[in-house]
This record gives sequence, C-alpha cells and structure tokens, in this order.
Amino acid sequence: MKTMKLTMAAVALVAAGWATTVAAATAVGPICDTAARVGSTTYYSCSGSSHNALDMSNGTCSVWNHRGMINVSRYYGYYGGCANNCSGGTTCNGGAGNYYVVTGGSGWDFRQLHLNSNVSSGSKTCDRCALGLVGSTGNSTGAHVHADNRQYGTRKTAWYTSVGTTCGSSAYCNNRVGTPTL
Amino acid sequence: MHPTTMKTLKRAALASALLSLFPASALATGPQTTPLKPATCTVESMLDDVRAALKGGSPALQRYVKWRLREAALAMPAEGLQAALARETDPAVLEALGGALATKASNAESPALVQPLLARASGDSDPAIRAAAVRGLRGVPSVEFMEKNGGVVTYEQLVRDASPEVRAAVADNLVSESADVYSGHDRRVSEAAVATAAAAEDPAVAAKLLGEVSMEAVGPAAVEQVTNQLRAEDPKLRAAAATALGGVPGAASQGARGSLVDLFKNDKDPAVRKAALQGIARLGMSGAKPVLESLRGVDRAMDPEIDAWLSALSLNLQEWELLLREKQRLRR
Repeated sequence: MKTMKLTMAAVALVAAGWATTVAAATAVGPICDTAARVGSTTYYSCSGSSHNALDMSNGTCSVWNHRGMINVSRYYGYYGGCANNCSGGTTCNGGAGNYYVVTGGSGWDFRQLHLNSNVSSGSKTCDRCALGLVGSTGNSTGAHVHADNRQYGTRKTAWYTSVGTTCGSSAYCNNRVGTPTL
Repeated sequence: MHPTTMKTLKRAALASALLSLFPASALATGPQTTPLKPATCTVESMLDDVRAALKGGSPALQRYVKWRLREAALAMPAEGLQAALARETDPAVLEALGGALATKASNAESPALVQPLLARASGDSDPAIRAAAVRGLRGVPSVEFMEKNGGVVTYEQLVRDASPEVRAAVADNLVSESADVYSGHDRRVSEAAVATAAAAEDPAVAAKLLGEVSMEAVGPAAVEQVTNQLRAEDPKLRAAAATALGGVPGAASQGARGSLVDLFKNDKDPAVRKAALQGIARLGMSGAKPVLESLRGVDRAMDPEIDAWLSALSLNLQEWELLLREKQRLRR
C-alpha cells in the first residue's frame, strides 16, 4: 500500500511538470590503449593524501588522445592557454592546466584536467571525441588524465566507487569507470 | 581410501550433479550439433539482428541491439551506414540506424555524415519515415549539425510538416537536446526552440517547446518572441509562454515580470494565471513576495495559489527545483 502511494506521488509530480534537472551519466576511460590504468582514486597514489578523483595514465606523454569520457554527446567547455608539458609542476589555470568542464544542473560538473593541447582542443559538443593529448599541464607529476565530479566545487567519490573502480582498474576507453552526476 | 581416489570420486559426483541440472534436450542439441562458425560483422548482418529484435524481441533486447549498432558504428565505414540508411524502409530500423550514424558524426565531429538522415527527415514521402529520421537525431548536437550542413534543413522547417508524428518528434528532439546534451545551458538550442515554436502552426507543439526547454541562456530577441506568445489564441500556449518567461536570464527579468503581471491581471484563463504566478515566483524567488502580495484580490479564486507561493517562498529555498517542489507539496 505504501509503495503504491509513493508510486502515485511520483506519477503526480511528473504529471505536474516537475522533474529533477540532474541525472547519472556514464563515464568511460579517456585513453584508447588497453594498457591505461587508474593510478590514484580517493587518495593520491592510492595511499597518500586526499584526492577524491581519478588519475589515469598509460605511461606515455603527448602520444595518445585524451578523449571525452561521457559516453553520450555533451558540451565540453575548454579552458586552455597552458604550454604543453610532460613533467608538470606549474600553477597554470590554478593548477588544472589545460582542461575541460561538462556543466550539469544544480551545481554539478565533470572535469578532465592536465591535457596537452593540439588541433582537437577547443570548446565543442561531441560523444567521446578527441579533446587533446594525454599530458601534464598544471599541477601534475607526469602525464595523466585527472577526472572529477563536483557539486558546487566539492569533489564527490560515489561516481567511481559505486562501480568498483579502484587503483589498477582499466582506464581503457571502452571500459566504464564511473557514473558521474550531471 | 587413497586421497587421490577420494578426490576423483568427489569430482565425478560434482560432474554428475551438474549434469542433472541440464535437461536432456539441451544436452542433445549441444555444441556437437551446432558448432560455432565465424561470422563477418557487416552493416547488413547487424541490421538483420536489429530488424529481428525490433519485430519480436523483448524491450531489453531491442535496447541492446540498438546500443550495439551505435557502438559498432563508431568503427564502421560511414559509407556503408549511409547507403543502408538511404535504402531503409522500416521506420523503426531507420531510427536505430539514424541514431548510430548521428552518434558516429558526433564522435568524429563530422556533421556532414548526417546529411542522408536530414534528407530522409525532410524529403521522404512516408510520414512515418520522416518522423523516424527526425528521432534518429535525438541526443546529439542536431541544431549545430543542421547549421553546419548549411541550414538547408532546420527544425523551423520540419515543425511545419503535415504529419503530427513529425512535429512531435521535432519538439521531443529539442527538449531532449536542451536538457540532456547541454543541461539547459545552451543559447543556440534554446533560441532554436523559441524560433521553432514561433514557426509552428500546431499550438500543442509550440506549448511543449516553450514549456519544457530551458530559457536560462536566451537573448533579448528570443525573450521578445516568447513575450509575443502571451497573446496566442490557445490558452495552453499562453501558459507555456508564461512558464518560459519565468526562466529567462536576469537581464530580461524586469520586463518579463511586467509582462507576467499584466498577463495575470488581464487573462481570464485560470491555467494561464497560475502559470503567470509561477513565472513571477521563479523570476524573483524570495524577492517576488511584494509582487505576489500586490496581486491578491485580482481574482479571488487565485488567492490560495498566491498563498501557497508565499508560504513556499518564506522558506527561502535557494534552488528553483526545491522551491517548485515545496509549492507543489502545498498546492498542486
């Protein structure tokens, strides 16, 4: 009976035109190399200080495409201007280096950081397209892709912990690494 | 008993137990009678699977074959997909194929790939095919694709189609694109929706576009177009325009509020007046209280609605969705 009442209430809300503006997306790995792996999750290097994001790498720099991770068409806003780099350690763009933001509703966003720019780099709407090259711009120690899912600027972890992504998980572009909220 | 013999017996017992789980018929038609054969992955073979699943498969199987076609299309030559799309006559298969081609275009950032889909959407003699082709463009940056293909086919043109199925597909695409691709933040899609609503001769379609597409990024010209719809003949369209005006950017909020106050005072339709109050509340949030107070008594039947908004606004909720949900909890 209680379930029925709840169902009726949900139906009534939808009928009244109310619907939440956020939803779960699916994020896949950013590098189309089967060697790509997750190197940091909630903690840096999996045992250090708090990180609350995924760092993914295949051990190369400026060779492989850094791809959009959301597996449907989304708008990727580009913030560039940092010189390409394979060692990092700069404060360009507040340490984010060259990066992209997918902006969702209610303060949610999904970011991909530290890429080296190339002809593919720039704001665009696409589905898992090339955004630049895996690089190390900004506050980074070696080439990798940093991905985080934030609400009002606070990084959340459930988007990758909920699907079991952990240190050593595959970051290949056909492998689901998380379900970010957007 | 020797440990090795014991282990062998245990294995035999386990194998026997497992075998008993399978019906005899399943064993009879095992791999010996139907050996696996290598298959070539082609557009045609995948379409055969899609066709069979869409005819008699479960909803889950139908979703799966469509998803598989989309993913496979990323690696398939575009020419094969385009040729198959040009000759397809089944609307459901064409929609799946169109979706796969549009996904490939989005992935490869190559809008020209969807030209055959646009051609079917605008020029096919079968309205079911035209509607399916439009639906094939759902979930991709279709407004941008149309512009980059020279604006030869636009939603403003498609919304004047004689078939209601095509017109409905146009509205669904724009609503979906604004919400799912851009989370409501894109000016181009929102303005395309406003222009499409203005071009529509079907008030239900225009009302859906104005009522459901985000207006948070539209420019002054689009705000004016929405304001003009407050004078539409159809009350549902007037109500949708009032809802849309409630979501325009801050720079346009003063003029929009004035238009909504005038609408509330002069329009006799209760649904339109209700939408006007919602628009006023959304534009001003807690700052809308004096305006809402001033509207008490204009129509006594609407006073409980104003009271509900004032109660919800008194909670000082910071997000529109939370405020709307609270108001709907108090009064639907």
